[in-house]
Amino acid sequence: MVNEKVTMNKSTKYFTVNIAFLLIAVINAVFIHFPGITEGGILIVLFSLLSAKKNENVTNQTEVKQQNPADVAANNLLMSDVLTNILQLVEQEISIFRQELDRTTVLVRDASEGISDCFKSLDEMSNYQGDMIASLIQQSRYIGEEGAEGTLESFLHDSNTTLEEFVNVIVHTSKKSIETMSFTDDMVKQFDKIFNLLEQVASLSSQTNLLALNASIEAARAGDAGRGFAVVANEVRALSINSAELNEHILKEMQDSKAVIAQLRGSVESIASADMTSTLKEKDKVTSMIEYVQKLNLKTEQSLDELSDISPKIQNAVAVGVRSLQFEDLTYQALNSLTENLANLTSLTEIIRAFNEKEEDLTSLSEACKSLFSRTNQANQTRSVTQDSMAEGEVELF
Amino acid sequence: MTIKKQTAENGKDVIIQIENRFDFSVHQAFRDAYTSSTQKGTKFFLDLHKTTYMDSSALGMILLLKDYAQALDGEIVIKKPTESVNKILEIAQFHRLLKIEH
Repeated sequence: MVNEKVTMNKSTKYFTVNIAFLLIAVINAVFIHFPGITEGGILIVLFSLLSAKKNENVTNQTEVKQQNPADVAANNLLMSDVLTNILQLVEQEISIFRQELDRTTVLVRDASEGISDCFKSLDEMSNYQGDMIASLIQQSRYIGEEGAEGTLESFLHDSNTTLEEFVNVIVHTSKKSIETMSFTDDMVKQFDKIFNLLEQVASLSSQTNLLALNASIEAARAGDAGRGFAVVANEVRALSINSAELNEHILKEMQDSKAVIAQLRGSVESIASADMTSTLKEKDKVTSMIEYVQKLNLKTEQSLDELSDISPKIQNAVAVGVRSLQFEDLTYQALNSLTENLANLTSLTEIIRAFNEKEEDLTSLSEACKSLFSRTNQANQTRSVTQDSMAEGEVELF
Repeated sequence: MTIKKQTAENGKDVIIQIENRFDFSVHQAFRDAYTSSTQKGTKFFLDLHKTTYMDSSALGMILLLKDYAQALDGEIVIKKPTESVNKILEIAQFHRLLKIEH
C-alpha cells in the first residue's frame, strides 16, 4: 500500500511534466497559426511549468518523509486542486480560442466575399471602359455620320486644296483679264491712228470744198461758156460737204466706241482686281486648323493608346487579385487546423477530468497523456505541410 | 510713276521695281516696262521690296511677264518681296512657278 503510494508520487512527478509537455506542444502548434494569440498561451505554459515545479517540490518532500499516509492524502488533495485549476484555465482559454476562431472565420469569409465582388465589378467596369475607348478611337478618326468616310484632317486638306484651286482660278482670270486689257489698249491705239486718218480726210474735203468754190467763181467769170462747168463745180462742192458730214459721223461713232471701251476697261478692272486679303485670311485659318487638328489627333491617339494599354493591365491586376484570394482557402485550412488543436486540448481536459473524478491510477493517466501526445504530435507534423503552402500563399498575396 | 525700270549695260538684265500698290492701275506702265525689252534670253528681276499691297491683277501681270520672258527664252526672278506680298505669292503657289529670292 505504502509502496503503491510512493510509486504514485513518483508517477505524479512524471505525469505533471508530461502534461506540461503536451500543453507546450499543443500551444506551439497554435502559435504557428496565430502568433498574435500569445498571452493566454504563455499564461498556460507558465502555469503548467509552475504547477510542475510545485508538484516536484511536493513529491520531493514526500519522498524524504516517505510512507506518511496523511502527507500522501494531503498531497493527493493538493494535486487534485492543481489539476482543477489547470482544467479551469485551459477550458477558459479553449472557449476564448473557439470564439476567436469563429469570429476570424466569419471575418475572413466576409472580407473574401467583399474583395471577390469588388474584383468582379472592377473587371466588368474595366471591360466597359475598354469598349468605350474602342468606340472613342473609332469616332475620333471619322467625322459625320457613323460609317461615313473621311477624317476631319482629310476634310481640312480637301478644303485647303479647294482654296488653292480657287486662288488659281482667280489668278488665271486676272491674267486673262489683263491680257484682254492689253489687247483693248492696242485697239485704242489703232483707234487713235484712225482718228488721225479721219482728220486727214476732213482736211481733204475742206480743200476740195475750197477748190470747188474757186472753180464756180472761175465758171461765173467765163459767162455762158462756163455755165455747164459751174454746175459741175457746185456738185463737187456738195460732194465735199457730204463727205465732210460723213467724216463727222464716223468721228462721232468712233468717239462713242472709245467711251464704250472706257466702260469695258472698268469692267475688266473689276474682274481682274480681286482683293486677296480675305482669301489670305481664310487660307491662314485653314492652315492653322489643319495644324491644330493634326496636333489634336496625335495627342488623342497617344492618350487613347495609353488608355487601351491600361485596360489589360487592370484586367491583369484583377486576375492577380482573384488568384490571391486563395488565401481564403489557406486561412480556412489553418483555422481548421487550430480547431483540431483545440479538440486535442479538449481531449486532454477530458482525460484529466476523468482522472480527477474517478481517482484512477496515475500510471494509466500518464499512459493516456503519452498516447494523446504522440497522436497529436503526429497529426501536427502531418499538418505542417499545409502550413508551408500557407507561407507560399503569403508571398503571393503581399 | 511707281514703276521704275533699270536695264543693265548688256541689255539682258532688266530690273523692274514697283513701289507702294501693285494693282490694275499700273498694268499699262508695267506692260510698257517689259515689252520694250525684246532681246533673247532677257532676265527680268521684279523688285518688290517697296511693294506694300498686291491684288490678283498683280499676280495676273506677273504671269503675263512670265509668258513674255519664256517667249524670249529668258526668265523671271522675284526679289525681296515684303512679308504681306510674300504671303500672297505663297497662297497663289508662285514659289512653284518661278524663282523667289528673299
